[in-house]
Amino acid sequence: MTAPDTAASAAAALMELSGISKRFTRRLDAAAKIAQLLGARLREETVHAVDDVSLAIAEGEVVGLVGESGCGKSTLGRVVAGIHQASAGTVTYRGRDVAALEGRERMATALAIQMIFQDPMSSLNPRLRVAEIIGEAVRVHRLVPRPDLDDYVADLMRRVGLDPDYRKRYPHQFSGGQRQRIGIARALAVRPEFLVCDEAVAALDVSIQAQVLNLFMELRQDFNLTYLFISHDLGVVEHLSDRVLIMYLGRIVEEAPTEALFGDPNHPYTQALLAEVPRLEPGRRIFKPITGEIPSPINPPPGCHFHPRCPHAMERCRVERPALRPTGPGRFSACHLNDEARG
Amino acid sequence: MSETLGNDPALAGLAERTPDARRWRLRAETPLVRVARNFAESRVAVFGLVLLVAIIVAAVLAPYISPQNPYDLSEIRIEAGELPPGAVERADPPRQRFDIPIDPAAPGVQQLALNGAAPFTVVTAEVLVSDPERIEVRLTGEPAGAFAEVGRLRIDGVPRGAELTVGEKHSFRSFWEVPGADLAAFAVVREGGFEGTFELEVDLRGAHGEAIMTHWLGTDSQGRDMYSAILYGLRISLSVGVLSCLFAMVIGMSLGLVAAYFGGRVETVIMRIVDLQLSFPAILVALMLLAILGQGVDKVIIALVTVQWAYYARTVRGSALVERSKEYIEAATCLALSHRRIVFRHLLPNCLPPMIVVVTLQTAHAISLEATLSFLGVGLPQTEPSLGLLISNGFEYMMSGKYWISIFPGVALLITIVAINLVGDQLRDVLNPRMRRDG
Repeated sequence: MTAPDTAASAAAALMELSGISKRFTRRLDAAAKIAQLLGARLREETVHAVDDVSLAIAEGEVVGLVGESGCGKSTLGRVVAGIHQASAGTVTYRGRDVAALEGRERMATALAIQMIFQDPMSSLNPRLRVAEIIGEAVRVHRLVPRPDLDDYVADLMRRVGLDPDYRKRYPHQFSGGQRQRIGIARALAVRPEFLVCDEAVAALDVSIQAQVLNLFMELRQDFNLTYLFISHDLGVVEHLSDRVLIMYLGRIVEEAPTEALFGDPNHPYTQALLAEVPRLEPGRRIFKPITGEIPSPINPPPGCHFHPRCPHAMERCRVERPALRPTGPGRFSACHLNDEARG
Repeated sequence: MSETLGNDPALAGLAERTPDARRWRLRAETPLVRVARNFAESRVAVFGLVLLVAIIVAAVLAPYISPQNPYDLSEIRIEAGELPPGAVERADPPRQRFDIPIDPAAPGVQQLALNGAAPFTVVTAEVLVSDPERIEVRLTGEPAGAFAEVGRLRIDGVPRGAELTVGEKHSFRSFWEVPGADLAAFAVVREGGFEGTFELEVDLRGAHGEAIMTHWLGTDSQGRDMYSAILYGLRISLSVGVLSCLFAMVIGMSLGLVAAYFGGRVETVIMRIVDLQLSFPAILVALMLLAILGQGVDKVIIALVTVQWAYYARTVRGSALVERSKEYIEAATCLALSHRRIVFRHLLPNCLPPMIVVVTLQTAHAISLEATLSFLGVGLPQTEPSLGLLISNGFEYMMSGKYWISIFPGVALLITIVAINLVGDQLRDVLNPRMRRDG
C-alpha cells in the first residue's frame, strides 16, 4: 500500500476539486416579498456549506475528511458523489470535468463514484428486498446479463460478509452492521472505483465498527478502490487514512499525511482537536474544550473562520482569509501564524 | 437480544429448535402480512371489513341476487307502488265475465259461456220464475268455493225499473255492485212484471292476484322493489366513489410526488393550486361544475375528481418530503437511476401507507358527496338512481308516513360509510409509523 503522499501530484489525481463552493439559499416566498415591500427587513438566507475548497485525490488513496458536525464535510462528500451540484467550481474525474460529460460517459462516471451512507436505517429502501436493493442498478444499467444476476448478487453478499440465503429479506430484518454491509454491497454492485464514505461507521457499535472498517480495507485491495472517508472520529481516520483533511466551517484548514498530521499538527484548530482526543493514559487528565460554539455558516465570521475560538488570534486573522499554503512535504495549512513564523 | 440472535446465521438453526420457533418464522413475514395481523387485532375493524366486503359483494352481484331489475320498466308495475315493507306484491286479480240470458217465459238450467280466466271453470245458472214480478237466479260454479274468491262483482243489464235483491246500484251508472258471496243466489224483482227477455252481464274479479314477490323493504312510488333498488344504487354509489377516488389518487399522487421530488418552482405552482382548490368547499365546487357539465355518471366522476385530487397531492407531498430526505433516495440518485424510477419505485411505495388511509376515507367522502349531489338533483340521472337519488326520491313521501322509500337507502348509505370508516380508522392506526409495533 504505497499511496502518493502529496496532494501536489495532481497529474496522477483520480478526483480533483477546484474552487468548489456549495451554497444553500432559502429564497423569499411571495409573502416575504410583500412584507419586504412594506418595510420588513427580510433577507435571503444563504448557507455557505462548502466555501472554495480545492483538493486532489490520487488513485488508490484513502483520504480522511475530519471536522465538527455542521462544518460541511457531508455536503462536500455529496458534491463529490454527484448527489449535489456545486454552486461554483469544477469537479474533475480522471482529468475530465464531470459537469460537462454527456450520455454514456456521464453514466459511467456517475457509477464509478459511489457513496456509503451514515444511517443504515434510512439508507436502504424499506420496501425492497435485499436482492433488489443490491441488484436494481445492475439490472437497470444492464451491467450483468439477466440470468447471471442472482449469482452476481449472491457473490456480492458473500464478499461483504452476508449470507446469500437472506437475499429475500427486507432491511428491517437485519441488524445495523448487516444493513451497512448491504449498503456497501449496493455500492459495489456497480463496480465503482471511488467510494465516498459519509460517517459510514458512526452509527454502529464499536465492535461492529471494527468489522466494517476491516471490510473497507479488504475491499480496497480486492477492488482497487479509492476512498474519501468522512468522519468526525479521529481514531477511525487515523487508523484508515493515508492523508487527512481537516475542515472547519466549509473550508479546509489543514491537509497532511496521516502520521505527520497526528504527530505534528500545524493549524490551531487541528491542535485543539487532537488535544481533546480521549486516550488511555495513566493519571487524570482535564479536558479543555475548544471555547465557544462553531459559528453559524449563515453568518460566518470574517477573515479566518476560526479566529473567534483561536487562542492565537491576531488582528490580521479578523480581516484576511488565510490561504492554504504548503508548510512541509505534502503538508498544507491555512493559518497566518505560519507567515509570521517565516517572516 | 432477539434481534441479534435472529440475524446470526449460526444461531438461526438453534432458534428453529426452541419453543419460540414460531415467532422466529414470523420475523420473516412480508410487510403485508404484518399489516394484516395488526389489522385483525381490532374486532370492530374486522367487523367493519366483513361488512364492507359483504356490501361490495352484494353490489357487484346485484343483478344475480336482487329479486327485480329496477331499471327494467317491464318488470315494474306501477300498481305495486308504495307498498309497505314486507308487503306481498300480487299480479292483477283474474277477471271473468259471463252473461246470464233470462227469459221469464222459459225458466230452466243453463251452462254459461265464460269469458276470461279463473276463478270459475264452469258456471251453471238456474232461473226460477215463481212470481211474475220476481225471477230467482241460482248460480253454481266449479270449483266449489270459488264464490269466496270473488273480489269485486258488477252486474249490468238489469232491466229498467227492476232491482236486485242483493248489492246496491251504482250511484249514477247502470251497474250493480254485489258482494261476491251473494252471487250464489239472488233475485231480480220488478213491480208489474217483466217484458220480454233480458241478459244480466256479470263482470267479476278475483279477490287476490297471484303472488309475485314479497317486498321486504317495500316499494317506491313507481313500484320499484326498494331492496333491489338499494342493491343497484349501491353499485352505482360504490363505483362512482371508487372510480373517482382512483382517478383523483393517480392525479393527486403524481403531482404531489413530483412537487416533493423536484421542489422549487414546480412545487410552488402545484401546491398553490392545491391550496386554492382546498380553500373552496368541495360541495360548492362540485355543484358549480355539475351545473356547467350537466348530469351523468361520467360528469359526476369528473366533478368528484376535481374536488378531491388536492387532498391526495397534499398528503403525498407531506410524506414524500420526509422520504425524499432519507438517504436511500440519495443512494438511488448516486446509482444513476432515472428520475421516473426513483419517484415511482422508491419514493412512491414508501408514501403509500398514509395514502391507503386517505383513499379509504376519501372513498367514503366521495360516496356521501355524490349522494349529496344526487339528493340536490344535480348528480346522477333518474335512470341510474344511486343511493342519494333514492333518498331524494323518497324524501317527499316522508311526511305521508311512507318512511321506507327514503329511510332504507339512507340506512344502506350509512352502513356503507360507517363500514368504510371503521376499516380506514384501523388502517390509519396500523399504518401509522408512530404507532407501529415492529414484530
